[in-house]
Amino acid sequence: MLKIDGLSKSFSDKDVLKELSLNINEGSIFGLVGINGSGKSTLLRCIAGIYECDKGSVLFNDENTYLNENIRKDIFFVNDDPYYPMASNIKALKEFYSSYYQIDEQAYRKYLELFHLDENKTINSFSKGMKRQTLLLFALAIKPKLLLLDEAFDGLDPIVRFNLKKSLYDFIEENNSIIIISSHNLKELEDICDSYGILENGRISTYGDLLESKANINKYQLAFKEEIDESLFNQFDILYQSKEGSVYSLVIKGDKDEICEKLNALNPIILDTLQVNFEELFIYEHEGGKQ
Amino acid sequence: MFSIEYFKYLIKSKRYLILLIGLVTLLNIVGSNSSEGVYIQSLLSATLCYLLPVYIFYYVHDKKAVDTFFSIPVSRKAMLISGVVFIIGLIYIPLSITIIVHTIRKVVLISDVLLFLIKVLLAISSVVVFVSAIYLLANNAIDGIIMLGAYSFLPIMAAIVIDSFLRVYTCGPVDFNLQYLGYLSPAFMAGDIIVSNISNVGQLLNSSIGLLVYLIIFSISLYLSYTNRKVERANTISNNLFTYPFIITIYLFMVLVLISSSGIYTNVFEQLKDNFIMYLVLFAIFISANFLYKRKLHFTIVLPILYVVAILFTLMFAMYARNTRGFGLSDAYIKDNRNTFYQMNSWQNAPDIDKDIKDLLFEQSKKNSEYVSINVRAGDADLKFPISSEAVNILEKFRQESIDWYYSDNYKSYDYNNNIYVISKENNNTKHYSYYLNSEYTLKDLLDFVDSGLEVTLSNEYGEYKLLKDGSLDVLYEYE
Repeated sequence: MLKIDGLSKSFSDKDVLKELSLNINEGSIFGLVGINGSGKSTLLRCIAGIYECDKGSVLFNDENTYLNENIRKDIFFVNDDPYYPMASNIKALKEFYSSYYQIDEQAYRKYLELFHLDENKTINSFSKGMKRQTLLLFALAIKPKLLLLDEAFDGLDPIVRFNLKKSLYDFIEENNSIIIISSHNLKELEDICDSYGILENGRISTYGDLLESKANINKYQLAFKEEIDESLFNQFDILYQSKEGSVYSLVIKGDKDEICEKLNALNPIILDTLQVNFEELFIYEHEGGKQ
Repeated sequence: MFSIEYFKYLIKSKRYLILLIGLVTLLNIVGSNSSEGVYIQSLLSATLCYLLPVYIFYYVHDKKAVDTFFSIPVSRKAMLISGVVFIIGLIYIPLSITIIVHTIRKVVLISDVLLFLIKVLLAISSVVVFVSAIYLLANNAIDGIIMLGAYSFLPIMAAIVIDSFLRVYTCGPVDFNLQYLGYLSPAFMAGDIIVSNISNVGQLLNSSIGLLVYLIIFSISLYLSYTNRKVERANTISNNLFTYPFIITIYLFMVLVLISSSGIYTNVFEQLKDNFIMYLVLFAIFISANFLYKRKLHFTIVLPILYVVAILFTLMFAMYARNTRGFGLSDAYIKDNRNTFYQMNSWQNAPDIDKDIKDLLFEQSKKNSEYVSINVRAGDADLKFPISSEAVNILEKFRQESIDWYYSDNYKSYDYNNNIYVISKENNNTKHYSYYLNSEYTLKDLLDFVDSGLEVTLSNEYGEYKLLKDGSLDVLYEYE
């Protein structure tokens, strides 16, 4: 289990993470989302034990990840801009990683083939996507108990994205590990994540089960015969509200049946309910209060 | 403590470098004679002492690489020790092989060779640890290299500045024994490795204790800075107190002290006026250094204020040095001045020569002198014989007058042709002093000197003569 308790991290005078707390259980793929500069990469580096927390702690299986080489054997971090020694190829990188981690040769061969990578070619000649796949190949072949992927889907073509998602599914099935993925591509995250967290103002503002959250936030479109008093909507937990002609669009948080019952009581001539996707959920959660 | 895995990785990943160094060493062993071979290999080793830490620890300054290296399951301590051992091994092994191969051909005591190899190891380790510690003080590779240059030159610069300042603000002492300051620089130590050979094991022995102290201090410093290093520092501006803030400040003060050593002044404004251009140029350099530090034009009112304060501080420091007669160093002098050698010289051209001296010399050579050089001596330069207290008193009076004149408002500039030179021995150390005089001597003065037991010689374009008690001259040498 990953347990983050009261984590604070600042750079110079900028507080990036502020007393952030979060628990993630084994067998979970956690989608970490947030706007640019919200501190996703910093959080992942703190979890990986690369950055020292100013305050609080990051415990993985009850051990602090910072400066702890034993627990680091179970953690693998793929950053958004991976480093490769000059003129090195995948074989050389395998030599490097095999010095510190147990590499599953079968998995290594499998993913090498799946990602169509040539282990003898120098990595510098690879495209951005191939470079990322190279590190993902090792991430999957090392089989860590905690896999941290920063902007994992960036620069990957649709086929590779599909393959990666499938591989991550298989990986979690097999190893019962924890995967934390940060990405701006919420569509991709929606496909594979079972839980998520929105990082906002240095804290996880919303987190939980993705399906549950999606079920709890719905978009309602309704129209009335005559103008109605909009204050009647105040009884709902509205994340977003707009009006086009006589049609109201409302994104409301809460039990769908209960809300429909209350809306029907207002006698609309049309009432449609639509499910929000992860991207909308993020936008409404993040921007909702500002509309 | 030591990571075999990381060490193996270093060997594997740097195999081409290892091969290159091996090849150069092999060619050197085969292709050169004994002393030349060791010299070339030492030169290579000294260069590598600087280059390898920069190359091996480059990852610490690379934003991408730190994520990889500081997330692998190896402790920082093990990574550091393995890295340093790798660097030292890569320099020391080829050098020791070269030394051993070349000494096989000579008749040398095995114990001397072993002692020498230990000392070379100590020197290489000290320089590598120093270079690594300084390189890692910075937050990016460029600053790391700049810091290396700045810290390597710092002790040498300090020696130059202190020497220049004392030379101007103290009257008398000639040598300040500042050469030991140079040994605080790894560049000097690296130089020691180059010039050392088995025949001067003793010389290397002198610096061994210093090297050992150095090694311990910088090993602790390197260890603490590496293990406590915040990874996020990678590739940011180097704002660590011991990087630019310290280096800019210390160099600024040193250059200002150097400027204030341009001459001894009685008036601060005169000194400011005379050095105005220098101060302007230095200000431009100061601003540029701050630009290099912040990587942006960073002009605030604080900088000129700081600069003016620094100028005032150094000028006040110079005035203090003058008012205390070189912090009292000019008056702190020989305890037993009977075991001392004095030599007073005075050069006078024809119009200034005392008439009696001129006549005496004319009587001797029947020609007019264009110049005369008067030399008054007491004792011998080897300090074997004590001199009379009467002679001491006369010469001490001149010496004291010289000091008073030097710090007086009337003092203008040195007269190199009119001085008193003193050698004394204290605690088995020979000390040299030189004072400039403002005196002209008459024949009567010179005869009084002779009466007091001083040796007076007169030289002109025709010869060299000793002045006797009866006022006659004894020919020491005459030009044809």
